[in-house]
Amino acid sequence: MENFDRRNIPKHIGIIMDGNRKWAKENNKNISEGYLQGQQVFDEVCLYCLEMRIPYLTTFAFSLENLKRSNDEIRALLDLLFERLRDKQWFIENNIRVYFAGVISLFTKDEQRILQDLSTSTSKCDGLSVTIALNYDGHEEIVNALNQAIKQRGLIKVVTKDTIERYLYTSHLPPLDLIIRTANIQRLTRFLLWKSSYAECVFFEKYWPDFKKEDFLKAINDYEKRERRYGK
Amino acid sequence: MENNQVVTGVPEHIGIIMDGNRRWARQNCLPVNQGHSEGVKVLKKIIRKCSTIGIKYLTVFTLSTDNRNRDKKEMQNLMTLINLNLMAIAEFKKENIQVKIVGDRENLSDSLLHTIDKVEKETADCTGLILSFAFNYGGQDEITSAFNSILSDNSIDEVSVELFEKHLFSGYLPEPELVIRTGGEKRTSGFLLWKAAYSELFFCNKFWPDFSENDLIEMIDEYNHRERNRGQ
Repeated sequence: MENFDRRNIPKHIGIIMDGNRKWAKENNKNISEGYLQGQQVFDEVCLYCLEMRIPYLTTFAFSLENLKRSNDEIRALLDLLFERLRDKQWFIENNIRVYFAGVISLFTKDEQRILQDLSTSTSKCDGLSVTIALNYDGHEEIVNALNQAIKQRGLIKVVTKDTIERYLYTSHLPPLDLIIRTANIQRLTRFLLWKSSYAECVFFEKYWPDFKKEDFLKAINDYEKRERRYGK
Repeated sequence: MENNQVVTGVPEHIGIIMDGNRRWARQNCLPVNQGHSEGVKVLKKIIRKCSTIGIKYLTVFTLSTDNRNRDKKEMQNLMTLINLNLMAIAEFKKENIQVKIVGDRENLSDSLLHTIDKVEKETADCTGLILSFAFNYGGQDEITSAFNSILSDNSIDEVSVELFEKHLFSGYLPEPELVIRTGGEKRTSGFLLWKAAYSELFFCNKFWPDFSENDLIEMIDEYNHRERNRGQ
């Protein structure tokens, strides 16, 4: 870790965690095991961020598009996810503040309460801010922001980038510096659209459950190299 | 056979971030101007190739990573103008290419607006490739401008994704299936921020003057390969 120049370390990392299902299939496990393994890796990545004092981490947990998949599978995935999010203690102990970004109103009242509870319970934590994109779509986020702005039309004279920022689900976040995507998928899929304009992209062939600390360090290193090149 | 090369699975729209003219010139111990004129030569070849294989839309963005700390947009505009000036309107008409400018028309000088107007009008009846130059373009600026235009229209109470798109500078374009960036940088720098949010990204280490028709065809093949995999 000492090898990194702190000035060039990313402040905000976004991760699109792909390949849980493929990993399960190729390892003859059921899909739930793939997702569980994926969660495990996610926890580890949170700890790497804490260790390196990277203040913001955002993950794409569930897109609006995911809703199109077969119901049983979505249910299984969401059940696992909510079970995980019920465990407030892990986040509090590690000093992690949790935010959510997306169309949260599509969840049931009970589910919304779990999310609310986790956000509130961790609101004093200041080691790492983790934002979990749920029912998220970058186009929807912009259009939703605009519809909020329309309701307050009388108060807005001229819209600047700052005005738009205020209405985003991700208004609490700085721009994304680095986007990591696994499973050899090389597109951004509307992840944090507005915030991702200048993000460095690092793609990995391996599936998310196989993502290791050395991979994480490689991504940081790629980013750092670029910063060093242009910082001059 | 060569001239009638059949390329299957031809995308409808390709976006290209042309980066690396200056670095190419430096690497070859040539003046910067020669980097630009070499870049224009390559652009002409790529335009012709796109036309030949039946691509309907090509959108190009002239970016320079060398100018990170200077006024990015000014540099970008300058280089786009160089491209346009070196390519005569007569040539576009001869090749049946419709030229469009995608970007902010506010605050441009009268002579610039006149130039833009002229090239768009004179090629408006061409029915071949639709070639768009991103000019005075920024991805967040484009969205901000759409916000302003919608908010100033009091008859609009609610906006959908479809309606929003109509207010973008790039509203007339379909989403590009591929976005290519040359010059080794692995980010999209806000290029077609809204429209390219789902595009397959191709980052190429070659400087733009070294990019060839073959590179383009290989990327289209790779795109089709990715598409097939996605279907599985």
